[in-house]
Amino acid sequence: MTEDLRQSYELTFRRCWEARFFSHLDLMRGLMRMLRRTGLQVYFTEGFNPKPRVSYLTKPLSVGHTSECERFGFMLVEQGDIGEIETALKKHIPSPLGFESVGLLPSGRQKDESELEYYIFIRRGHERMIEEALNRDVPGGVKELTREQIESARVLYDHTDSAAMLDEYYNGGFVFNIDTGSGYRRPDRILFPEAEIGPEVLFFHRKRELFNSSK
Amino acid sequence: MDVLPRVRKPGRYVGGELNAERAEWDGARLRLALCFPEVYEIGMSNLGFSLLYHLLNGLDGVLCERVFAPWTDMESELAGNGMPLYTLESFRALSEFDVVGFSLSYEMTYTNVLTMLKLGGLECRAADRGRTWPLVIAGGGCACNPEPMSDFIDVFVIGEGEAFLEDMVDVIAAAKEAGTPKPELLEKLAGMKGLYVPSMYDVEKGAGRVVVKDAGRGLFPVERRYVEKMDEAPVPEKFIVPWVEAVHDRIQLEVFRGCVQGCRYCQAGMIYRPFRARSAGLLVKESKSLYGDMGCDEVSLLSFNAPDYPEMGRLLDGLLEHATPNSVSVSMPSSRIDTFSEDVGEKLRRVRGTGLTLAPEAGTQRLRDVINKRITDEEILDAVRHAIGAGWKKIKLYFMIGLPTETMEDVEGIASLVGRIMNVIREKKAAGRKGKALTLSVSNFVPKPHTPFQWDAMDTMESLLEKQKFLRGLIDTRRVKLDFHDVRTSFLEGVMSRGDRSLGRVIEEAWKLGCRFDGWTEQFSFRRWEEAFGAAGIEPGLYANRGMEPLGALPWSHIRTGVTDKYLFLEYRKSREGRTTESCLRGACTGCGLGCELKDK
Repeated sequence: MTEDLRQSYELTFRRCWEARFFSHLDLMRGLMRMLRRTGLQVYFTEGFNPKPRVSYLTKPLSVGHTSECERFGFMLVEQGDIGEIETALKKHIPSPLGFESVGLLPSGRQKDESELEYYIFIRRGHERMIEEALNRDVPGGVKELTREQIESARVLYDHTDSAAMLDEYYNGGFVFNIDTGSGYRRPDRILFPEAEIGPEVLFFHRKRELFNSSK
Repeated sequence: MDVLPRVRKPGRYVGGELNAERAEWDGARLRLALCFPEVYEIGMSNLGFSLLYHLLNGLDGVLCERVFAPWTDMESELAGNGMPLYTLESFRALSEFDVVGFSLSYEMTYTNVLTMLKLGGLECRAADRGRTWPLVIAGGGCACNPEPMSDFIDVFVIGEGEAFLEDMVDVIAAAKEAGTPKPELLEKLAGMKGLYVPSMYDVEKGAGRVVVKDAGRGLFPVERRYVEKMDEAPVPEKFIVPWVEAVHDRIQLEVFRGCVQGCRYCQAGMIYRPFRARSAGLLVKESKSLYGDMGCDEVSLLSFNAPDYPEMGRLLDGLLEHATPNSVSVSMPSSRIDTFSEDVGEKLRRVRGTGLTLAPEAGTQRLRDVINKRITDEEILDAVRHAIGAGWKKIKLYFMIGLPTETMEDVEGIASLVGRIMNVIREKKAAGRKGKALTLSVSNFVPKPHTPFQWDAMDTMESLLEKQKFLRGLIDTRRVKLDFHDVRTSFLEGVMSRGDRSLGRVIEEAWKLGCRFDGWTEQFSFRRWEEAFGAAGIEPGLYANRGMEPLGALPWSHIRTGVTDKYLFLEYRKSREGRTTESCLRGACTGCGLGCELKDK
């Protein structure tokens, strides 16, 4: 019997402003192609239509929103040099995604529940929604975004036009944390359950993910 | 960008894909907007469009950007917010470019061309644009009968883009630099081989159709230009990898151009002659390189009938050596039955078997001889046996109804043949537990220009509907998936492909009435088209359902593809006598008029 040397990895990446209009399926396809381009010894599924063995580890992000803590799991046929893997991923990750880090996928991480921190930006003209959200009684509470927090999210918007657009259309928002357990819902659905609110009114930015096991 | 959150599939309109070109706007000597009058997913699947985009950007000082037709919701948003239609690279309006080029590959996209021009900040009619830039150019398969669109286009490119690019770009760039007025530039372009400038010709009405005449400038006829040796033709080193899934989301390897089979109904088989193959070694090298740049999981061998490729065994071996360890599938879009072997089938299926498509086209031997589809029932059944033997699970069959000389017996022949194919599938126990193993796609024959059937009348809509109903009653739809093409769409396709210059009025009227994306069932409104024909005082049936005199001038007679009228007429006569013509690969040269590399085989 041959020894099973397969090894799972976790890529953390940014989904920048310019990438907010791709669907989750588009993103998955783009990431699988990235893996193929890297030339790494990717492990393929063994079914009728072999595909790279991958999984999206964060909750899928809706169209219209951004993130700097998306996690994508993939498997190689055997453990490789992490430096080489990092170099290959940095070279091939498609714009407008941004490489953050890569490492071995911690055991049990796929089932690990976490808490996602969202920065929610509200369009100019809808400022009353900030007040409305701040007064909501939700677990963890809602806090107004500080200037520093807004600026820290802005590093995502490398493109000059995008940064200008952000200034033009969005003048503030709030921070909100959500558990990713079985009851996970999108932040806009929790805060504004009575209305269907689209990205023309608000967009949310996933700032970070805190794992329950390490909290 | 502010409108994007409100439209469906906003990813269609953002660009920024891997391998997209980003040339400097300010430094460019010529700026082209390359337009595809369909949605992004379809346009990005078109190999010719992608080839031109990358090759143009590879020319010194040339900037080329892409534009696709906005879906109706995006059109409303752009118009409602006073925003122009923009390119995906620099987000500039069409009116800011020197040249706006359209790829016309399907007649049902004509109204989208008008939408794009108008939204891009340009007048639709060439005469209304007058002396102002940009220059509006169009090419592609539909340009072999350019007349219906000639009111809107300044210059048509007749032939293969690669053969023109450098010459044409140089002339236009020089004119721009020298400040040459547009009419003078048009005159110069009209004198170049393969370029057709409608405004430089006279027209006259004869036998109920408008035909193009020489205006005494010595520009008649317009001869097609094409690449002579495929291995010497420029090929881009990379292609764009779309984020939004394209219809054909794969590496497309063009194995050869031109068809050797001579099917008499097939326009592409006639207008893309002669046969020109690329060498297997180059194709394998190109495939490996594109895989490294794109990461696609499928390679498609693009050609009319891939098994005709002389080096197929070597090509497949080379491709599979690389594809197998990377789990990349190799596919062929369509294969002639008599050339599909068990060996090829097995090799193709080895990596990842998708469905296999075979095209008998007609149900009886008599009618297959008329259309020069030289295959017997036994060969069809053998091909199915081979395919199933090689492990294929799903088979798709293409048929046509409304072919010249067709009778109800021929239609019944389709059902009878399908019954025998189902028996083979049952014998081989290929029918899966779930789903149907056989799909039957039945389209309506449109007699296209530059084919031996160009003089034939198209079957009427009533007759086609009757045949569809008859066939539906004969097919066991519990076991076979049966798809029919919409007869009204086919009828309009017939009118547009066989039309003359008068149809410009109809197209414009239909567009004003709201016709968009006419090839899409959910968008197509035959009522609006009827209204447009009524407003223009034109009876569409006269174009589609009336035969033409073989010796008379046709609306497309001024365009010469290289295949001679003599050859087309000879094939037409042979069809009526039920005589077939052998493939150029197997028989003697058929003398179509285009000397090719097979002539002295």
